Amino acid sequence: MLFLFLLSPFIFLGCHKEDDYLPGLSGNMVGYIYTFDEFGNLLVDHSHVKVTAIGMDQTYSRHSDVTGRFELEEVPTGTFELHFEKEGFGVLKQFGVQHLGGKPTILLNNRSEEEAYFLYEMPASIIDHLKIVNDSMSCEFSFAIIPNPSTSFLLKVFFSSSDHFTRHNAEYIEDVRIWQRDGNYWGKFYFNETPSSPGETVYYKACRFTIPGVIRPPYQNWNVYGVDTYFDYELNETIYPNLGDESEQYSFTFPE
Amino acid sequence: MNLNSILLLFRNRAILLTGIVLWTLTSSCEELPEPLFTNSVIHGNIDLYDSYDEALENISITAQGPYEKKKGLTDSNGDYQITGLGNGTYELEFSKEGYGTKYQYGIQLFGNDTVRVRDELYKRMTGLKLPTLYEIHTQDTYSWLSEKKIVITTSRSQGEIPARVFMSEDDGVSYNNFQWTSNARTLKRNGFDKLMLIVDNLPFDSGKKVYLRVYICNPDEHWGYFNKYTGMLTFSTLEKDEHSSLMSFTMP
Repeated sequence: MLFLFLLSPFIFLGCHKEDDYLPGLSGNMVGYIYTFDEFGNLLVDHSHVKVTAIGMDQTYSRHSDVTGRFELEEVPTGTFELHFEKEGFGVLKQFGVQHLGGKPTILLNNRSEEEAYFLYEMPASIIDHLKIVNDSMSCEFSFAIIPNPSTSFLLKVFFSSSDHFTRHNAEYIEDVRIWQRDGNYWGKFYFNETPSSPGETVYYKACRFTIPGVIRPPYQNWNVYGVDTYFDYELNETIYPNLGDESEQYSFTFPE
Repeated sequence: MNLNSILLLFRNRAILLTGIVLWTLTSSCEELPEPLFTNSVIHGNIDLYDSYDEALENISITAQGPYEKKKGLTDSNGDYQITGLGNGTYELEFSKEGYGTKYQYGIQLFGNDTVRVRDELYKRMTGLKLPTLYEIHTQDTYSWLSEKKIVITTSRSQGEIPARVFMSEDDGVSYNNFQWTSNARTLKRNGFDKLMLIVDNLPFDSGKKVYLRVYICNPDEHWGYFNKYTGMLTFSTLEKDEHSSLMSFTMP
């Protein structure tokens, strides 16, 4: 009894909040994340993606369910960084997510098109014998999982006039869609800008990546657009979370 | 009453009293803070689908936010305005008697925000009863059907049947657990004296066992709306209690 009476002033004092953040509300955050294999095929089970909201002082985490829905609970008002992680998948980040509190924040609610986040499996392949002849790029792959012959995929090709370059300081970047044809991998290739002068040696390397951008979920009549990249302000570049390992460096002489 | 009984009674009352005091003190912690701003506005327009002759006034809008619930009504043009809202995230409910109620979520207000939200309501099929549904026929039993179509024989002889079909490979299929949904068209075919429901463009693979339930729902609400909170495709005019029993068929 005496203990309860002694405890009560401390409970009362506990009501005083030291961190009186403005405007001092909290609420849930709801969103949707869809998962894809390394070739951009929509998976059936979107569960176990760990979604983390990183705030000033605390982080809040939840896992997505099989439909891709997640709900972070009782998150205080503020601006958050979101991380989406699943083993074997690229990590997607989002910055400056505003959460006012009260009723649930619906993530991406104010975007004109995108309704969900997309997370892709990391590509597991080695790119060999990358070759550019005229307007064609051909290459060989060592795949962990052999893709269906009708599957196409993307290469991000990095170019530089320097033979010691990384993809972060490439002078020119081009995306090439690669198809299988007669057992070979091949893609039509155009330079949108001229990266070099005729006769000069151009160095290049490539990574695989995935970017469906839009999907039509099974049995549904509407398209879902997704957010699958982010801009890294420190690196000052757009990040493709499932960019695979770099190929060796190759070179060619820019045609006269 | 001996001394021990009196002491016990006193102790029990004291414990009760202490509990009440503690509850009062702790519950005061749950009070919401004062809103930083109280001059935000949600406004917009609500339309009634296919009701050209019906006045658009008195459609009810309820804004539920962190601090309070505020209501508004549309004028004769369907326009509404709810003022004096505090900062925070709001949910809106649009309703009118005889129409399906719809919801919008995640409306964020801060400072002097003015946010426009529009919507459209569809008439409910209140009072309509689903006829008895007898059998599902596929191409296997009605050769004139294509492989992606089924017909369901019914007990009714005339009129349209405003039916929506929910299908799944799961036998727990319902309006909130389905893989595919579609309006069912009412069909009267020569040689049959009863109406049939026809469903086409079925997306299921050949040989799959498919379960279905049929509900009363306004067929004008073709696509429903995506409920951004639940993540479910939702039909505001669906009569949840007016549905068929569980039926099944195998895709030909």
